Amino acid sequence: MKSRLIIVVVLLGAWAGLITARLYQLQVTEHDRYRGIAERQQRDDLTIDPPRGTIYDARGRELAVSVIVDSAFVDPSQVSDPEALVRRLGEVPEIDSGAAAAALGRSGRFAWVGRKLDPGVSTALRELDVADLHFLQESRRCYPMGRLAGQVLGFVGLDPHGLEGLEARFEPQLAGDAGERTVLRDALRGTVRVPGMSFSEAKPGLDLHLTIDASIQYIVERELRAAIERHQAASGSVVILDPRTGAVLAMASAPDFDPNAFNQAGKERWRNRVVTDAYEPGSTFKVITAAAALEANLVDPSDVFDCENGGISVKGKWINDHKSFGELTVREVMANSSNVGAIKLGLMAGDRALYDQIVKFGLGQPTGIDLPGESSGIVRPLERWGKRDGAYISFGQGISVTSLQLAGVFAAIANGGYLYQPYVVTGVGRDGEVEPLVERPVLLGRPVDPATALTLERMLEAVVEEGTGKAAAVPGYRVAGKTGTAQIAVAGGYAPNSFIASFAGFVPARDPALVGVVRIDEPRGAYHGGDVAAPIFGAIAEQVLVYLGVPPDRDTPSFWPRQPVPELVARADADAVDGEDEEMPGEPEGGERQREVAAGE
Amino acid sequence: MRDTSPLAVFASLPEERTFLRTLADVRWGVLVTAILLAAIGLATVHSASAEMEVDYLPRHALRILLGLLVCAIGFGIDYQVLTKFSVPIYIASITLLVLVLFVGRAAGGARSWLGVGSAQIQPSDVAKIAVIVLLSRYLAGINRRHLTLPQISLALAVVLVPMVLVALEPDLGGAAMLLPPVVGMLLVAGVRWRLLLAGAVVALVIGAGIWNFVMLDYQRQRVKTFVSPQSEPLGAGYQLRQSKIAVGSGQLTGRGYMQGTQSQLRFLPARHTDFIFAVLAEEWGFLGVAVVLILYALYVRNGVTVALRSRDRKAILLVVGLLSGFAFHVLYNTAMVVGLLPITGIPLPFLSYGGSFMLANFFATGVILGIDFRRYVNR
Repeated sequence: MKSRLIIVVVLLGAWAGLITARLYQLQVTEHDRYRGIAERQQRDDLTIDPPRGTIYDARGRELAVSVIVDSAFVDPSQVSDPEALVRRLGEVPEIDSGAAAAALGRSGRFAWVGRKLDPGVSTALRELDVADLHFLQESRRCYPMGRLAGQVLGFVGLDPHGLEGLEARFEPQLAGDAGERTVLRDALRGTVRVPGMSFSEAKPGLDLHLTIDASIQYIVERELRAAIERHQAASGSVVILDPRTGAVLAMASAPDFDPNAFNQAGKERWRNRVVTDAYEPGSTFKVITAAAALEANLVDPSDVFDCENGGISVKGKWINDHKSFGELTVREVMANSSNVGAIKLGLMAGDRALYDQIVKFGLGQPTGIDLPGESSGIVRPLERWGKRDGAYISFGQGISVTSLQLAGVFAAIANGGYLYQPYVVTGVGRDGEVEPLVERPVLLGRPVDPATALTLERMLEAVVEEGTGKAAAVPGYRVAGKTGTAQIAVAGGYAPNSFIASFAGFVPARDPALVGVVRIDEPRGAYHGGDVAAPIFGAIAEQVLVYLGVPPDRDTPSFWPRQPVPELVARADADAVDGEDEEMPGEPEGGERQREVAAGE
Repeated sequence: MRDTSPLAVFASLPEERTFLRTLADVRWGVLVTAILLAAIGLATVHSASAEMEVDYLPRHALRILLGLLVCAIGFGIDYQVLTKFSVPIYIASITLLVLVLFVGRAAGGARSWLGVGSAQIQPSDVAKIAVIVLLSRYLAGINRRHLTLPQISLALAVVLVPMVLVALEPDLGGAAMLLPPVVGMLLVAGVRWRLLLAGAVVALVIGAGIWNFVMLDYQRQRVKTFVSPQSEPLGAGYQLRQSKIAVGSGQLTGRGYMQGTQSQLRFLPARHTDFIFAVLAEEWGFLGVAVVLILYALYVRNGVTVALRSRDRKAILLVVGLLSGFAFHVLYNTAMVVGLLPITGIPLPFLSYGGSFMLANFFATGVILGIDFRRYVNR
C-alpha cells in the first residue's frame, strides 16, 4: 500500500516537472516574445494636437477659430450586441446608421462613430448613456462668419491639416507643434495612466492677423453675389486693395462655399479666382499701352489719333473696333476705349517698349502674394511675339493676367508709380501681439514715373466722367478706372458669345484709398464691362468709402449712402437679398446709371 | 472499539513518549508551508486587487485567521471520531448539496453557494471532505491486495452522487474536482493497474461517444461554455492569451511586486482568484514561482511522510485522499495558467482569494497534523 503511494507521488511529481518546464519555456526561453506582446497591448504613443491659431481680420474679429468638440468611437471587440447598439445610435438622427453598423463590423479595437461632432449631436449621444460608446476631445475648426472670405481662409481637414487657402499656406505657423506622450493603457482603454515616459508638451499655433476687413469683405461679397444673380453669370471675383501699401482689404470669388461644410461644395467653389484665374483682360489693358507710349515721351494726352472709323489693317490683317470713331485725343481713346486708338499707341511705342512696360508692371510672374495657388498669367517673351502680337496686346488680347496683377497695375498708377506686393497677412502672434512676417510694404518696382502716373490717372478719371465707365461713378468722389470687355479664348480662337466683363479702378482718384478690380465671367444679356462690372465697383466703393470714413473730394449735393453699412457681418445670407434692391427710393443715380450704360463701349 | 475521546491521547501514550515530545514530533512542516503559502497569497491578492474597487487584503487576512482556527479544530478532533460519524456526515453534505440547488446563491452562472448572513460556504468543499472520510473508512475495511470490481463500483457510487449534484448547479469544474481524491485513494488501496488502464479507456470511449453521437450542437456548446466560461464574452482564448502574456512577461526574476502590468492594467481577468498564479509569475518571475512550487511540494512531501509513518490504514487513506485533492488542485491550476490544460474554475490552494476553499484546505491540514499526532494511539 505504501509502495503504491510512492508511485502516485512520483506520477504527480512528473506532472509538476512538466509544469515547471513549461514555466521555464514561457518565462525564460520565450520571454521576449510575450514581453513584446504585453508592450504592444499596453503601451501607446499618443500625439497631442496643439490648439490651432486663430485667424483675425484687420479689426481683430475672429474669422477662424478652433473649438474643442467630442468625437465618438467604439471598441468593436467589446460590444456584445452590435445590432442593439446601432439601434440606439439610430435614435440620434444625425448619426448615419449604416456607417455606424459598418464601424461596428470592423475588426480591431477602435472604430469612429462620428468625428468632431456638433455640440448638439454629442450631447444627444451622451444622453443615450450607452456604455460601449466612448468619447474623446478633438479640436475642430470653426468659421464663425460662415461663407465670408471662405476662399481666402480655406479650410482644415479632419487630420487637422490646412488644405486650402491661408489655412494651407500658413499651416506651419497656425498648426503649432504636436506634443507626444507615451502612455500605458489598461484593458478597458478608457483610463490612461501616464508613467514617467517620454513626454513633450504641445505648442499652440500662432494667430494670423489679416489685412482683410470683414465689413468690407461683407460689402464686396453682397454686391458680387447680387450681381452674379442679376446677370446670371457663371462666376465672378472682386479684389479691393489699399494702393498705398498693397494690403488686400477684401477678396471675394463667386460662387462661394461655407468652409464649415467644405465637403458639401464642389471643388470649383473653393478656388480663390482673384489669384488663380488668369484671363485675357481686354480693354483694361489699354492703360498699360498708354503707359508705354507716355513713358517713352512719344505722346501727349491731347495728341489726336485718327481712329479710322471702325477698323484698321495691321500687317495685312483687318482688326475691328467695337465702334466707329473718327479723330480722338489720347484721353478720348481711353475714355471711349477705341481699339484702333490703342493699337496706334502700341505701334507707336513699339513691341520692345510695350513688352518692357508689361514686365515692369510685374505681369507674367506671380505677385508673390501670401496665398497659395497663384497663377502667373501668360506673357510670352518678346522673341516669340509674332508680327501682329504687339497690336493685339495693345488692346488686351493674346496676353493673360489675374485680377490681382491688374489690381497691382492700377494701384501703381493710383499711388504715383509704386508697384507694391499685395498681401493679406499683417503678421502672426500670440495673445494679441502681432509680429510681421515681412516688412511691409514690399516695393516690387517703379513701373512708371510719377508724371506718367498722374497723366494716366487723369485719363482714367475721364473714363468714368465721360466715357465707358460712367456706371462706376460714386457721388461725392472722383473715380478713376477702366472698363474691359474681353472675349474668352478657347482652342483655336474666341468663344462667340461669351465674355468677361471687368472694371479696374480706384477712388478717390487724386488721393486713392482703395483700388478695385471687378470681374464677371459670362454674364447673360448685357456683357460690357461698363454695364456689368462698373456698377458693381461703384456700389462697393460708395459703401466702403463711407465705412472707411474717406471724405468726399467733390461737391455733390445729392450725396447719400446707398445702403446702410453693416456693423455686424456674421449673418451673411439673409441680408444679402437687400443688395438686390437696386432702385431704392430716394436713390438719385440708379435709374440714370442703367440708362447710361446702354451706350457701352 | 478503542476509546476515541480526545483525552485518550493523554492516557494511552507508550512509556517512552511524553505528550510534549509527541507534540514536538508532529510534522509541523505541513502547517508551516501552509502558512507561508497563505502569506504569499495574501500579498499577491493585495497586488492583484490594487486596481479593483476594493482591496481584498483585509478579507483575505480574516479568512486566513479563520483558517488557522479551523485548522486547530481539525487537529483537535480525533479522525477516528470523524470516520465513526462518516455516514451521517456524508448524508448531511448531500443534503446541503440538494439544498443549494434550491436556495443557493448564484456566482458566475452557477448556484453553488449557501449563505447565512454574510458568511457563505460552498457545499462542494464540504462534500469533498465527507467523501474522503467515508471512503477511507470503507476502503480501510477491505483487507485484500486488490479491490474487486463491485467494491470499486461502490466507492465510485459514493462520489458519483455528490458529483451529479454539483454538476447540476451547474459547476462542472467543481464536480470534476471531487474525483481526484477518490482516484488517489483507490490507487493506494489497491486497484489493479490493468483495471485502471481499462477503466480509463472505457471512460474515454464512452465520453467520446456521448460527445459525438448523443449530444446536440447546442449542448456541446453549453458544455464548452461550462468548461471554459471566460472564453465566451471576449472571444475564444482571450483569458488564456492574457495569462500566457503575464507569465511570459515575468522572466527569471519578475517585474517586481505591484509592478506586473498585465495585472495592474487589468488585462488579466480573474487575477485575484483562479489566475493568481499568473500574477505571481509576472511579478516574481520564474524564481518566485519556483519557490511557491517548492513550498507546495514540501507540503505534499510532509503530508506523505505522515501517511508513511502511520500504521493505520484508515489514516493513511484519509491523508492520501486529502493530499490527492490538494495536489490535483495545484497541478491543474498551474497547468491551466500556463496553457497546458483547458481553463475551468479551479482555484489554487492557499493562494487564491476565496473563503470556503481556504477553510477546507486549513481543515485538511489540521486533520493531517492530528493523524500524525495520534500515530502512537491509533494503530
